[in-house]
Amino acid sequence: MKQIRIDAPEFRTVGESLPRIDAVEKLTGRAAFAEDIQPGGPILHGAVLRSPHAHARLTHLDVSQAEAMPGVRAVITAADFPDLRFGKYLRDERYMAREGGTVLYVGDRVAAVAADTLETAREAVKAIEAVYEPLEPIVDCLRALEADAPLLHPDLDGYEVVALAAPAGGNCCSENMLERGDVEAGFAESHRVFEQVYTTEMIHQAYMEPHGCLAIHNPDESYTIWSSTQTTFWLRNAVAEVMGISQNRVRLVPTEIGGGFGGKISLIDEAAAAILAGKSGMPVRMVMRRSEDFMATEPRSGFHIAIKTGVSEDMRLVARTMEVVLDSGAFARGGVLMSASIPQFAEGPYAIPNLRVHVRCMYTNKAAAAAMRAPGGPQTNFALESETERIAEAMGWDAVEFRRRNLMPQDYKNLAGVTLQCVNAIETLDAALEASGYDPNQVRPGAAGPGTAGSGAVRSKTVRGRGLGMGNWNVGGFPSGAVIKMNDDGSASIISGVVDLTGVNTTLAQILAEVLHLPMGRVTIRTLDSESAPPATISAGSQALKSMGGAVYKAANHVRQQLFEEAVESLDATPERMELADGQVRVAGAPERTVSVTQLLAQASMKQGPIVGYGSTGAFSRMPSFACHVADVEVDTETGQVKLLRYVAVQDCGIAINPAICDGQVQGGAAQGIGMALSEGFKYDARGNPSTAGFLDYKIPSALDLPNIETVLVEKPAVDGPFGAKGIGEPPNVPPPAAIANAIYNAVGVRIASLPITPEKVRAALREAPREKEAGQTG
Amino acid sequence: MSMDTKRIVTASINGAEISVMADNRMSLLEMLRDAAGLTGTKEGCMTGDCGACSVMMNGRVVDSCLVMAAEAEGAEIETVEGIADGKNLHPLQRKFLEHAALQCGICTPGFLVSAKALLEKNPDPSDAETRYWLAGNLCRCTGYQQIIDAVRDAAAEMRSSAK
Repeated sequence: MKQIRIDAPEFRTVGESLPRIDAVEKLTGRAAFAEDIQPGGPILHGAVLRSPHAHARLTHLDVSQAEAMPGVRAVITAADFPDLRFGKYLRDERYMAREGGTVLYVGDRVAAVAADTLETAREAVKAIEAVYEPLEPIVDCLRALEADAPLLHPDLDGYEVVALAAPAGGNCCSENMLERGDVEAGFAESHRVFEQVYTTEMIHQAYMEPHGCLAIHNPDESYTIWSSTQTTFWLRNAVAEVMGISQNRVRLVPTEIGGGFGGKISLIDEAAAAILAGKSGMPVRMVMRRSEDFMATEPRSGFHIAIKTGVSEDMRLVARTMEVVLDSGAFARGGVLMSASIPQFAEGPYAIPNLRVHVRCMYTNKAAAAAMRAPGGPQTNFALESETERIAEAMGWDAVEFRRRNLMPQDYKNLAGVTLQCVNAIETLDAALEASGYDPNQVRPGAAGPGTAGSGAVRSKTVRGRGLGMGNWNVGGFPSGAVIKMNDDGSASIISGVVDLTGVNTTLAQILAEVLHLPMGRVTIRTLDSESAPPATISAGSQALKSMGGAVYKAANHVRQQLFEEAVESLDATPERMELADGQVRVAGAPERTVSVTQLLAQASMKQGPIVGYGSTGAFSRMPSFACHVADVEVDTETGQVKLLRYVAVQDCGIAINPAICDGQVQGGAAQGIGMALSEGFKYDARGNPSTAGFLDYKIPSALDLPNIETVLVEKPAVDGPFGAKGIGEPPNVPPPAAIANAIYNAVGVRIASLPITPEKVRAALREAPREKEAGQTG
Repeated sequence: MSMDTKRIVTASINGAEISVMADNRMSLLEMLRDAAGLTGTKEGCMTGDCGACSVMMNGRVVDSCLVMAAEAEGAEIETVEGIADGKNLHPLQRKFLEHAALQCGICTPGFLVSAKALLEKNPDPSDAETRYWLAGNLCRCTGYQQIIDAVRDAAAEMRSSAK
């Protein structure tokens, strides 16, 4: 990791690569994830009957045989829940299929069982009699657009919109468009116009911990639910909504979470566990099998993107349209969020005067899509940055200069009407060129020269190439509140309701230590449950640090202010003249006038009660974090195999509160993007059966598949984050597919416009290449 | 359903002899987690693809989800709970901490067990050898670089302290 610091101030604790405060627990096996929670006493194990059909009518459901099995303590169906549809954006989802109703994907919940052993629960699931009348499934989101396609939600017009969704009839659960300028006139005045279609596959978050939860029904009719969730409060709300009870009756306790990446935000089996616990009177644990987790959670949706770009003779982007059709799966979950938000960042890092982004979010008979890391970012960026290089080559331009001329300036008003601050696009691009030694003149097919050819009998030729991808993710967020409890000895504890997904608790503690001038050993942070912590945002969308970090910063200053006010009398000075250091409040410039924090705490406590700090952050609009990646590949022209030789990832991150944690986010984000580029695709057959529901078929990168990822943090203070920090979980996931596609083109002269770029696709394209070239010359 | 015969399985787990009543269909992973209460070993897939459940059995790394509890009779098992020496972290654990080689931490126990086995076999593994050895342990958070660096750094420290 390298750090490039631009106008970056120095701090005491902020800026230190301190080890994660939870590291020792996790290194010794003591950290308790959802599957490890032991409530004491015997517990039951839950299992779910899931639809084996992608689209079918449930004509008959009989659970009596399952109920009669020894060891079975409860069986539940839709009849055990209020008769309602729920949803975060659009109320279109049924938690369990009703007899006479439809199931909408393979994995849709039909019934659930709690039994003494997991084995018995699974046997009982098999004993449930469910009869289905299969219906025509929609597996392709383009098929969902056709007039004669089956309607998956015939009552769509009557569904209640909660937020963001703009249902447009048929199978379209949300249609969103933003436009600026006059794109038709822009194309007319363009020197040349380019069109291309790009497609991406459904991607699974593939966190290493399957979804898990444990629920207890308490004597006061409330429920306690432990879950490995990214969001204590959204999940609590969803559970209460589905169960038809008030939110104070659900105490949602977040456990340690074994990865989420956007896949642990929605309600999964928690409400089933709670109802089973209520019906059986015993605690119920539900942990998904890996195959179940793959098919019945919420992956990243696949996109179909038609992009049209008009350029001037002098390298300017004049006009662009992006027509996006995205696969929402069975329900309008993260698909709607993406549909509504894509127009807010699909311009990428570029300023384009005439621009239209049109998104249609389509129901299909697949798992409901969610908002995986940088939702919509990697998909749209794959199209944008592939086009940047394709256009530059066709025009005979230096692609870096082409980018440079069109990068958005400071205070750029984007398509959503937001004036973007901290636009560090040029700094990020320059750092990537420098770190990688990128020479635009070498980026022509084959220019990087041959690779190390296969040896001996293998008639193999390898060619090297290099590619660049520039992208951004605009981080906005939801509200959070934080409480800081001062202890009698002057040490401090943060009470937080935000889940520690990425090491954020360590950075929050660093923020508190910095403001109150405390050593890290005198700072504690506790992630508490929905009944004990102030409301907090989701740990997603790179927002936890800005939202909760902002709240902690304000809460710490609230404590500081109260200490200063308490010191007015002892120090005979106004708070403005005071400073806090080493457990003392003192008067600036008069080091002999001090009073200890412990004395002030005791004094204040006796007078008006204990000093407690509170701070909060409201919702905030999306501000950009830029990323620029350079990939070096070696392509085997016989097999189509692509090997990554080197990977440079540069991240615009504002002030890195904990550089090691930032580095981890950049490394991991790049690695996941590399998987999306080369090997990952969650596939369904023509009947809508998932065909990649295991790690053998769904190939995430292993240690052998990745090179050393070289990271660079560009630290230029942001105006809106605590101590100038930006959110950086998402942006490193954005550029990899485009950077790698561009590198492959650079190596072998074929452009693959569909992800993942498998050896089969490369090989087929190489065989087609001569014909493609001829076609290009006549076109 | 006449399969539910049980047997007592006795194994040495992290140096302590432990006997559990094991169903014939119980895996070693379930025996460790559910019967012995050692929940540091994680279930990631139950199909031997992810390595989260890696433990040492008679000196070899195994996916404990693919080993039957009955096979552990008389075996020496070592899990993540046995890596540290009391409160003193093993060099691998310290280096994982220093190199920020863990994020969510669910794969970490499996990586530590596998890495310890590697260093017992090869005290000076190259970057490529380390990647090859650890390719059966999947991590979705880190991108592996810090893990590889931590393992090789621990190896260097263990070599110099062995001199």
